[in-house]
Amino acid sequence: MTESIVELRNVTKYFERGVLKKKRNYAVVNVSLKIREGEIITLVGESGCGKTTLGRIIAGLLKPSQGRVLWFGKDLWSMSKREFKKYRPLIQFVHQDPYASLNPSRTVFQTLAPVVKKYRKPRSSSQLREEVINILKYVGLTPPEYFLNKYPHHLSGGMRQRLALARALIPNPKLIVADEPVSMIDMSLRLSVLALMKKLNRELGIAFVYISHDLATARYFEDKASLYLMYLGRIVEWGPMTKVLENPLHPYLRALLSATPLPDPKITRRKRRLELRSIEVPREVLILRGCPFSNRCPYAEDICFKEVPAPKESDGHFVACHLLEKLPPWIPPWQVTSDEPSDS
Amino acid sequence: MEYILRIRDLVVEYAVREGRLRAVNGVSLDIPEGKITALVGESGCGKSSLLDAIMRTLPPNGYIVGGNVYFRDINLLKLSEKEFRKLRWEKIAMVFQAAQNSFNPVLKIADHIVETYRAHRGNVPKEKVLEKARELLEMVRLNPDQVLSSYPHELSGGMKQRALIALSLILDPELLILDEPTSALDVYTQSVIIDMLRKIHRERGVTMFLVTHDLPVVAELVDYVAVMYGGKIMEVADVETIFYRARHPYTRLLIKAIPSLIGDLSDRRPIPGEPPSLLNPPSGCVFHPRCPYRMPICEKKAPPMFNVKGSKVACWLYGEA
Amino acid sequence: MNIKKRLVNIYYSFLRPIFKNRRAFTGFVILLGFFLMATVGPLVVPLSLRTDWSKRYLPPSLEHPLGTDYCGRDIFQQIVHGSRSVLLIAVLSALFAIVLAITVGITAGLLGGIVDVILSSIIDVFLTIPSFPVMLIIAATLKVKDPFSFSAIISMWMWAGLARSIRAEVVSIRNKEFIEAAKLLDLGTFHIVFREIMPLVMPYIAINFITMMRAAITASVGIMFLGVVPFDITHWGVMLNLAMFQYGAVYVPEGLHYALAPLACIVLLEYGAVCLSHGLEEIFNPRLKTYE
Repeated sequence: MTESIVELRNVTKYFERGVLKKKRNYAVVNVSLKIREGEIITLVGESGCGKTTLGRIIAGLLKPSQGRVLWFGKDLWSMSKREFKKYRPLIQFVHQDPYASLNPSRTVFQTLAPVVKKYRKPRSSSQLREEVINILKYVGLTPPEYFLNKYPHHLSGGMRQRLALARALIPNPKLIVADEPVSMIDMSLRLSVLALMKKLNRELGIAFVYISHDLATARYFEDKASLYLMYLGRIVEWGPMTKVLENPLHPYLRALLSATPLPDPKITRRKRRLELRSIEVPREVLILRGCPFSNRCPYAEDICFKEVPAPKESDGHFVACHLLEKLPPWIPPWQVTSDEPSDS
Repeated sequence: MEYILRIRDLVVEYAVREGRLRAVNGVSLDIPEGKITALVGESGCGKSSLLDAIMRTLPPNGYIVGGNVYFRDINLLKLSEKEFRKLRWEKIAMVFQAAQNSFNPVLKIADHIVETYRAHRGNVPKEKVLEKARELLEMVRLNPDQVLSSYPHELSGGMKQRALIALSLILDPELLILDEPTSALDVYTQSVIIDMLRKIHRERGVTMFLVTHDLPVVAELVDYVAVMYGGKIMEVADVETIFYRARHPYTRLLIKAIPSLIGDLSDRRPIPGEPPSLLNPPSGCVFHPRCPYRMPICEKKAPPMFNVKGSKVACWLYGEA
Repeated sequence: MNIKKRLVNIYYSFLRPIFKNRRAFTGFVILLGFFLMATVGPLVVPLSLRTDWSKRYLPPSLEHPLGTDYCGRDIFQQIVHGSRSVLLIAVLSALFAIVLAITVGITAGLLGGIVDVILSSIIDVFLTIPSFPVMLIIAATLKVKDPFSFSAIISMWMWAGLARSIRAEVVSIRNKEFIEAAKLLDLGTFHIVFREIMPLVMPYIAINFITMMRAAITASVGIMFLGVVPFDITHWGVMLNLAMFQYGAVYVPEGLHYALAPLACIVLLEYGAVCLSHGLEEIFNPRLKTYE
């Protein structure tokens, strides 16, 4: 078994609320996963599912309430300061808002130079400048000389995110956790940032955790990545993305796939959505017992309300659902050839 | 075809530190009655400014520098505040992005609705108003008693948005304007709201004008699409033409750049280049620096709207100077 | 970046915006004028403190541009030499105050916890004690004899407000994503303080520097006017004191210019400072987004 970069074992995270700190808001419930060298993991779920919290735990920015976080096999939260200093730069994080992750009073050069100085140890100021220029070229900010003394507010969202990625790759990290990196960027520019991430993975061997609420952008990494679907703090289905998308098992994933609008009027209007028993996502993880999806699942039976489903595997494809054998076969909703308009 | 809203040569500018920023640069657009029309564009294209200009929500440094907006035969821009407020809700209802700011936070939903209704129709008995409200809320699969007796902060984002859309119809407006109605909502709720809008349109015949950057949602819902870029309209056509047979190079490239759940990944491409600066816009056609089909004239002169088989395209590939 | 590029950079980032903004430019010119007066003036203009009763209270003329005082001494010379003292005290006070404010503000803002509580309480104490009377009493008691101690005393009562603002700024910045990014990259506290936080706070500090200079001028003039710290007789405050109380210049119509000259200079200098600080505020105003 190959060494993992980051491993999570039974990680749970809750936030305490209320004056007496009695109420607990569970953001992540009993998550275990392993990220290996060069892997791409897409962590998908809707807002409130806990994916950002999980991403921050992976990146060591947040301490779990229960469970262990292992970096390169070592327990992160009981490391010595010196050890942590050694490992910290190897796991990086790219924020969702590319404007907030850049200091507005620093130029592009001033943003990258201190990092280059620390990790690439240039021997002169002209070598420093050259290094910065090379990095800008590598991430597609060309002509690099043009960008050197620009401020963040001069750059578009796509450019800022490239700059954030440029900054993150300087310490030669093993893993970059990217939290919804393209959600705040225009549609026409998203692919270029996603392509850059693929390039970093392919050429520099950097592993990625790509967090998103949008299955369509996650699909961009289909050929290489695994899909981890989160719902109310738990990972309910995971496996190689092509497999999972071809044969989605968990009713929540099926509902999502059937509800995602497609940029094709004829097909998207034809598709039938899987109806759920309730439209609202419950705001709190009230259910620590039973399946988190039970109150909305159209197939739910008694057992679903009582026991938390244990993951079942079929050739690398894992699902946490009691009713696996009873589910109808999956027909992609966009393949239905009926001509009736979709009704509600 | 009757047009319920006609925008003619609208120009909107902002006064900023560096000078004047032209967000809407001579936009003319006709919204057909009884249909659902979408105005699509990416950030900075001017669609929000266009809407702000029509609905009088421009910030203090925004100015309507030219043009007119006609609702049927009433010039909206020339109305007084009072006249405009009367038109609002009764004839034209507007649903803003992120419904949170549209409900009065200190009033229960029921009270807010009754107040608004009475402001327009005089002293109507409370029960009558609430009866209508209940009907509308049921139409969108909300529990009317629960919603009406709640304060805005007690409802989730999705519920608020649905309630807002439903209740905006309480005075039977002729035109419903929606600004990014599904952003910040989860996919499933978004899908429900799209269905809801379709249903409302089908059952009540309300004309809808939708402003959004979300193209898949547009594919799901609308009849006509206007594409905006750099403060100008690039193309206006029916939804299938836009997605399958777009004529304007920008539209074509945009459709190709959208990540999708289906279809071949390998022919998706981002649009090269960057969005234009609105302080120093490119000369001639505003898209020319990024256009793979550009010709010498594109740099010199901005193309007018050409009529091509029922669509409109602002591109020199389709007409002569 | 070589020297030439650095100079060009400075021109574009600081000087050009100032030249373009009318208020800032006015203030800048006035202050520059006084600054030159304070530095070059005394080298060019001699100071003759010889009394000459025959030349008492002469009105402004070519030989004596601002006239003469009660003892027949040239007022203009005194003004020029006094400007050095005035500006020195103003600059020193502002400097001490700013250094103190930055240190306390950033430490309290960054460290938080008990350190923050202690430092904030100290700030509050200094803010509530009435500054002018206390300064007056301390200056009189300590029998201040040099500009450095005087500036130190004045700065004691100016730093607290700025410290509190800086602390608030630091608190709002320290949780921002770009600070988190700096921590992710293990860039160190020094980097975070001096290369991330300071540049953001700099414009605010620059504006406050000018404001503090103005407050220091007022304070020093006030204290000297009351005759408490008479260590430099050409300081305009002392001149005013002499004019008002010793020689009764305001009661004699011919002597009016003796009192007015330093007064006018004080007003003009403070006006220049106000203009520049307001102008800088306009320049650095982040409310209007910059498009490119």
